[in-house]
Amino acid sequence: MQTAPTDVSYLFLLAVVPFAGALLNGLFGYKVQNKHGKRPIHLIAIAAAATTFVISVKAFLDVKAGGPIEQNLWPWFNLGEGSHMKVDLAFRVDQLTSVMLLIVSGVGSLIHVFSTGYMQDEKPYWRYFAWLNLFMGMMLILITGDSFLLMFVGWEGVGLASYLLIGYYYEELPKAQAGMKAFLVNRVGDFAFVVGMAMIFWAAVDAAQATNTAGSILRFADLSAMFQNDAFVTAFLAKESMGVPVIHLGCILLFIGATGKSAQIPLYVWLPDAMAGPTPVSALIHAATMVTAGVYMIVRLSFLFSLSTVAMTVIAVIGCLTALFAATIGFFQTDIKRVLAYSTVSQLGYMFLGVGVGAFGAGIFHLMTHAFFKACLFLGSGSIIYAMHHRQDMKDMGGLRKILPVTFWTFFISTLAIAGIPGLSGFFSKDEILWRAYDTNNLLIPGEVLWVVGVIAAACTAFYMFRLVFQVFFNEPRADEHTLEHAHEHKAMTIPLVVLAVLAIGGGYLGLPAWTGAPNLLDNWMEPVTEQAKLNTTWKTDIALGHAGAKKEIKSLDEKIAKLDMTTEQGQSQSGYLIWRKAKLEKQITAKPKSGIAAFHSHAGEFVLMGGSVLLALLAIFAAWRLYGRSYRDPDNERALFGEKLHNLLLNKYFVDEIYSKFVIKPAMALMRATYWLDKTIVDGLVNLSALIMKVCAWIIGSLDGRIVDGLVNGVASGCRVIAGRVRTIQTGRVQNYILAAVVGTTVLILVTFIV
Amino acid sequence: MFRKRSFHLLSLLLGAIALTLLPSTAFAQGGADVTEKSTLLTWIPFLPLMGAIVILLMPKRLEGLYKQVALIASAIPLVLAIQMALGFNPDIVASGAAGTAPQLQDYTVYGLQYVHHVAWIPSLGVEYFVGVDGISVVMVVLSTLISFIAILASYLVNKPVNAEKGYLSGIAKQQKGYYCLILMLASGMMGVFVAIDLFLFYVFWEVMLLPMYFLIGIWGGPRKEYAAIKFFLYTLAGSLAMLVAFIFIYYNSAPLGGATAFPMVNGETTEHTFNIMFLSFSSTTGWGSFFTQNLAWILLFVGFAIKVPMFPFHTWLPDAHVEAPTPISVILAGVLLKMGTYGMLRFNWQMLPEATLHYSTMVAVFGLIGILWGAYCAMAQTDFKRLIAYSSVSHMGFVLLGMGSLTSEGINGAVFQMFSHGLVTGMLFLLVGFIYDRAHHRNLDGFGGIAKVVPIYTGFIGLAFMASLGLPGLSGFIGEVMVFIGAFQRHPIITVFAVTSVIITAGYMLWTAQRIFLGPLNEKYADLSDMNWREWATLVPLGIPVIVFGVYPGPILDMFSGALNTLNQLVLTTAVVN
Repeated sequence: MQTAPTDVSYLFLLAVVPFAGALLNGLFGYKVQNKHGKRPIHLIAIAAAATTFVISVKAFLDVKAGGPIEQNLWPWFNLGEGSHMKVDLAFRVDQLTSVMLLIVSGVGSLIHVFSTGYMQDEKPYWRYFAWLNLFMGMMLILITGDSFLLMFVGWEGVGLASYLLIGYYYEELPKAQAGMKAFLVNRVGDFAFVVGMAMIFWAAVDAAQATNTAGSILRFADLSAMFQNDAFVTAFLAKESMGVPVIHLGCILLFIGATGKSAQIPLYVWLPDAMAGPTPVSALIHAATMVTAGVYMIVRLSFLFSLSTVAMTVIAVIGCLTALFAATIGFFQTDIKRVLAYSTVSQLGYMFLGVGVGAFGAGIFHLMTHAFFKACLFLGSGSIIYAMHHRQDMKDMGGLRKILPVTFWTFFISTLAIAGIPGLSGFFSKDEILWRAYDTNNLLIPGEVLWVVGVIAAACTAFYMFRLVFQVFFNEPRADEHTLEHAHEHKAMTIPLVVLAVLAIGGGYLGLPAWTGAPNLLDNWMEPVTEQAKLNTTWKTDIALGHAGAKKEIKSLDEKIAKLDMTTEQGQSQSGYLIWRKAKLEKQITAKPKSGIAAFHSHAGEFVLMGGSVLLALLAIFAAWRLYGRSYRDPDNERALFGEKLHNLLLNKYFVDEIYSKFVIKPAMALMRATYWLDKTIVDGLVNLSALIMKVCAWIIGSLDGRIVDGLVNGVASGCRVIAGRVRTIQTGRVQNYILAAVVGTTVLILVTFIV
Repeated sequence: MFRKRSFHLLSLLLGAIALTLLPSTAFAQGGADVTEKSTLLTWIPFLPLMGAIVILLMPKRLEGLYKQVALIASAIPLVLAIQMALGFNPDIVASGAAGTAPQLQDYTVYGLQYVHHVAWIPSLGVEYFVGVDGISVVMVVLSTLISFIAILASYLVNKPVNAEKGYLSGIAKQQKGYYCLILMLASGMMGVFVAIDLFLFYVFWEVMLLPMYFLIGIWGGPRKEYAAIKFFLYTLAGSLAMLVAFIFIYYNSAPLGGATAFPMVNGETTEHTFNIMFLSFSSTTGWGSFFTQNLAWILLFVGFAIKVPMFPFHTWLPDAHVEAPTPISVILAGVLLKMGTYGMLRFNWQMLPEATLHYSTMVAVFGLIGILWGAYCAMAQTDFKRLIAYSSVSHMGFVLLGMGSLTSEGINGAVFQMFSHGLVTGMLFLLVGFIYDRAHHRNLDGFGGIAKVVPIYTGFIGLAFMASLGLPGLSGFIGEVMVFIGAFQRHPIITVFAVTSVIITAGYMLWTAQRIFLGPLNEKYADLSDMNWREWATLVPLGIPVIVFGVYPGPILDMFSGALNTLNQLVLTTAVVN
């Protein structure tokens, strides 16, 4: 059971310290660098990163001693009465977060150190470190933020930092464009994330109102507590939006958000392009930390995702397919960083496979080991690229084993780890995921299929990674003499490499497989976070071990249901979730695996399956050695070897970029042009038309006015003039005439009066 | 030289004295209690007008001082508005007043504070009545801030940015007219947000219209006549619809709650009233026949929609913006657009709640169309300023969507978006102006790679772009996410489409950034000068709140959430009651 959080007052520093570093370097770095050189710049940045590591260690120890810790800063969204949107700006570290914190701040600090060597010739050195610190701050917000909204701040914030760092060499247009692509593709995911968040908020508000459950819905801790209320879960599961249960739709939408950030099908396309950034950035952001945010998010919300069989199936299938798909693209890439990029996409697929089948601990385990060996691989490639004078095509390398010994050995160890060779970290984490996939009872499809695909992808990984190692480190050097003469390893670069290589070896012992009998340290550590999800997940191995556990659980559920008064509405509303869980357990008992496969659902079976996958990986390595170990093969050679069609398809990444360009970007541009055309000609046209009509009317009326109305007026005037002209003649000026007129007039008057 | 400097010093000194004295007198009259009457809200809109009169009377030889006077006349209202906002008590909301008899003893029944209420034309029931509630207080602060910034920005373009390089300035000619008009404009828009009398509201509304026409028509760009006439006629048509609705509402008003007539502040009574609070809570208009409501609602809505501007009435905006000088664009986008949505809340929502409920989905749909239409049109632009103008259409669509959602989150998000958009768009138009002053064109494809030569400028525009595309942690996000969360509860499908705008907005913003700032440097602009301190001075007051209220929106949200929740409840429950 998760214990109540302890209030602490130092967590905000995790965000503030790197931001302070970013601000210092960002605002004053230019002047400082001109005046005092590069030293103060990286001292500030490394100090900030190292401080976060120290705080992370402190947080880890605190969590270890007394459960989760929390810091509430201030009410962030508070709309008073009448709104459920009450979110405090709060940081929270629990078991899951503490692991993530150590990974992010630890690997982050190492990469800061590495960067001092790799970036030493760069002029805007200050800018690089400012942005790197900005990234650290945002990433730490992402993992410590205790609400959807604060996580989203970090989520978008790391996207911004990634955009800035990918476009670090912004004077080269393609690199700037790569940054934009990354941001936009991530925004597609964010769109789904926001809709999913709004949907879950809406459903949870209704469910909370119906069941009188209190809590701030957008806060993870509160939401997780609300999901411990059976009545609330029942009400939530019944909610539908647009005809689909919210639990499925909402979780899938959140997962689409994760496919953006974590580079899964269909939104992985930005990650290979993101290699335009400096190599340490690729190591930190695009391998070890930021891209794992999606996995972290799903584990953070495991209590929610585990309730949706549909979403879990989607996650597992997408993860599994991505693992294979990206691995095959990695086959013929010639850019050393691109190979690693596709391998990252592929390994992230494994993590999603892990969390998708319900093994949340295993997903985080692979996240951790991957952070170690992939960061090591990327930094190793950085060391190579640095030595090769910023050339990253493999055709310019070869034979670097002797020239860059530290790089070679660390790179080699990490390659063994990623290939799943027993004893190294990648082996343990990958095989836990594969085994859990084989054993899962949580999906709509049999997990054995996923296992098969996963094992094939693992063999592919072993193949292309060793192809990389042989192409780069073995055979004759292909670089020009000048480069080879100057090729050397920088001390700031080798130290992080060695540390990471050690971790890539040792990290695996935190999660030993069950058949060894040793405790799975990481899984046990994460227990308080994932236990709620574990209620909703079942495994076939439990059957092999006997039905007792499941039966006991069913019995206790039955007792719970019996206690409820089913005649009342309240009783019915609470029973739904319990019945759902009971059905799941019953399915576990009745589901009899086909006899042949059944034998593998045991610890012994796990051991055998593991052996099988290792064997396949070794075969793949052997194949790589046969093909590449003794001679360099250029793309033409490979094309001849593997067939033109296959080579073309894989080298061009299945033409996905082209398909997106044709079916997404071009229509969007056409829509944009069409909208503006309509705006100009129709909407504004109507306005101008009405103005024109008014003008015409005015002209018509004006001319009518001139002829008739004014004509009338003028007519009267001229009439007057004519009459006046006539009348004027009367006025002669002679007195006799006047007297005559007066007499005549008077006579007439008198006559008239008399007559009338 | 010396004389000029002494003028500056003198004016600054005068300004400083005025800044310290005036607020204290205003507050002294009102006393410490915000619920007491005070003349503060009369000072705010009339100080700029007084400034305009002073400038009008100043002899030509003091031409150099016009701008200082104008600056002071806009700075004092800003200080007063901030003081007012700090003293504002957000717990006082119009509660329990609906359907009761009109009364004048206690303004807090209607949620009003800082009331100044005197007789004006008693025979018609017209009064001089100003006050603020939670909805308007933020808008008053915004309008005073934007006015101040705009005058500071015109101050800036008055002087060539760099005389040696021959940068031209927009407002070198006819300074007297310019500063008089811009101050009148400021008066009008501040007045609109404080007026609680329909008649007074309409007067302020029209006062603001004419200066705008001249400011665009005289100091504008090449097609200024067309833009000015278009703006004027369009807005006039809106005003006309409003006026008809106002008269209609006036003649349909009759007191509720057993009262026989509406009381007036001079002790007399009136058969019909212009008092907005009476019309909202104590008159038959909001509670009368549905037909009455409908007709008035549509007329008002069209009148305000033109100002917002809502699709399909938005085409005056890009033209007006492109032709208007920078400071006028800042005012136009920063404040004038908000008057449309403010008017909707104040009149349609508050006075005609039943019709509002009836039409709320339509409002949301128009919001959605505006969001997407504006965003797509923005993407298609090659003129930087026109792009920002269309992005305003898109962002004001969020306000409509939030208002149409009739949820607490949506409506609060809408008003927050109004505030945030004022700041962000203000920044954007200033920034567009700065680059135009230097390069004399705004063609997006005519630059390239200038981040290298103007890093500080790039930094500011990065901040403004990110705030505009709703990056979390900046103020644009707060309003947007609240609108989405609120709107989803009532209109899920509309909201899903609306959220796609986060992709499109990021698309055109980043694409713009890339075309102007990234890539290889266009050698033509290799010696572009970066921002000078005056340009800093105009941006920083906008940029700081964008960051601060993005992280800590509490102070702003607290200010209006009570009032808006009450308003929202009014709309939802009135319809149920009838």
